[in-house]
Amino acid sequence: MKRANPDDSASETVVLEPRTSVTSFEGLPWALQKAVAGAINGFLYGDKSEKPSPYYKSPIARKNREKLARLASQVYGYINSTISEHSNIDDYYFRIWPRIEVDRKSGEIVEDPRFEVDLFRYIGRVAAKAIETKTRVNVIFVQADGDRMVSPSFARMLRRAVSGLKEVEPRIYADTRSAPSSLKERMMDARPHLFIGDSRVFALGSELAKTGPRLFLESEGKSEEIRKDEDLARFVVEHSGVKPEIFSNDTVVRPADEEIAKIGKRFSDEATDEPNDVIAALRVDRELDRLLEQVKRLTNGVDAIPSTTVARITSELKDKRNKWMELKSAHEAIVEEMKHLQRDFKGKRVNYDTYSVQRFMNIENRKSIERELVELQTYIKGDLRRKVMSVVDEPKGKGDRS
Amino acid sequence: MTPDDLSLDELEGTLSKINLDIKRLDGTRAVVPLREVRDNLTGMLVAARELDKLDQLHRRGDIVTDIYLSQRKKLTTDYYEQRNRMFEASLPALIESAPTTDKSKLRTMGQAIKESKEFLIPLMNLVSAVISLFGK
Repeated sequence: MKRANPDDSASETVVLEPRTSVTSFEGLPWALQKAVAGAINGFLYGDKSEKPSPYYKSPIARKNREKLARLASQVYGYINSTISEHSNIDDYYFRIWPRIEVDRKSGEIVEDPRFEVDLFRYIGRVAAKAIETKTRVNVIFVQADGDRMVSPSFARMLRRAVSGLKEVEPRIYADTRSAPSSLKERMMDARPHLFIGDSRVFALGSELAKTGPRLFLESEGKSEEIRKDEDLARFVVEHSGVKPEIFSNDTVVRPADEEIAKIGKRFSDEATDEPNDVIAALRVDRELDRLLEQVKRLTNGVDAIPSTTVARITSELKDKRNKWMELKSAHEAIVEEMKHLQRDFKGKRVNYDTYSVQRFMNIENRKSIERELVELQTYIKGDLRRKVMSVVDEPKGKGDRS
Repeated sequence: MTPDDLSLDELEGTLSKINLDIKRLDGTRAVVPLREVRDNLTGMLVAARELDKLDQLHRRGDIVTDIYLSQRKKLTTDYYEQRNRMFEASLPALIESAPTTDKSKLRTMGQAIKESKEFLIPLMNLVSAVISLFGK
């Protein structure tokens, strides 16, 4: 997590690379704040920090929060460009690996943080307990003859304690008479006994206290008190070699390499769709030609000297036509670029990251050009046409002929 | 016609022919628009050649992808700018310069050039039609 700078002793900063938990799209800013603040606090105060640590409410922490909010914004930008806009964001989970350079003394983030993102496919949520065992374990309890207090109580506790450990099946004998002779031979005295596996045997001791009976499991001079079910479960686990791994309520995800390939395919499928022919739909070419033709009629032929009003209108029409041509060329070029990019991606000349970022930029670029085209069309068909018509409809002889 | 569809050899041939036509039309008002057409075609040729070269450089790994993509975008835009300028300004000016009162046939030819994927042959037909109107 921590990486010192190369010329370390002289360096006033340190590079920290904490990782966030795997989290949803909405949870990213919080996960980032939590991971980075934890890392900085750990670096500054270690485990000996006071509780609550002074870092979390310090002005430095507030400044760092601002920087991390910007980082979260960058992460969102990256994710938006990586995942298709048609995907359901709830299908994905993320882990961020920020790389931050902080001041050794104050803990302030001194440079813009960088980051990497692991992408996971969301599978679902589970609430379960799981256990991993070396071998199946026998846990046998033999109650003491005639004991109606301690033994039944311990037997119930044992059943409850091992109920979560599915590889452990408890067997309980009501008295020594019903127990197999092999077990009887291993018993140390007349007390109840607990057998864990083939080699471990414990005598159950008890003493009466003010709060009720206290239970002890004793073996080879060592004694351990068992107060509750969890104590007994832990005792069984420790002495049986069972390695429990208990998940309370967790989110299940899997790395999204396959998903990325699928998204990539979807991207390329989407890219095969021809974009709408915006240029043709706007019908500006014809309108400009018509307006220019009408203005030209006023000049009484190509070589005639136009009035200043007509010259101004003609000049504006030509300007707008040039602007239109420029935007049209840019639009055609970007559409062509998108097709080319897709071919390059399919031909593996461009990797997925570059492809997705470039495609996103191309889409944004195309949208912005289309916005400009529409604005220009609105102007040409509205204000400019009105201007032209006001000149065209003007009675002859009133124009300021030069 | 996209830069990929364009045959560079055909375009070079067309340019040679237009250069000869410019000499034939020397002294007429069609020379200026025809020179503009030639300049536009030259611009397209240069952009298409550069694109070809850029593609080869990238295939060989001589340039990084980011530069390749940004350069390609610029050259593609240049190509379309020249083509549209020719369609929207130079060719209409050439048609207007023709010494005839009925230009409807020439305008139809001009429209065909814009709509045709293989525009070089219709372009040469238009230029020939304009030259014949000058009696040359």
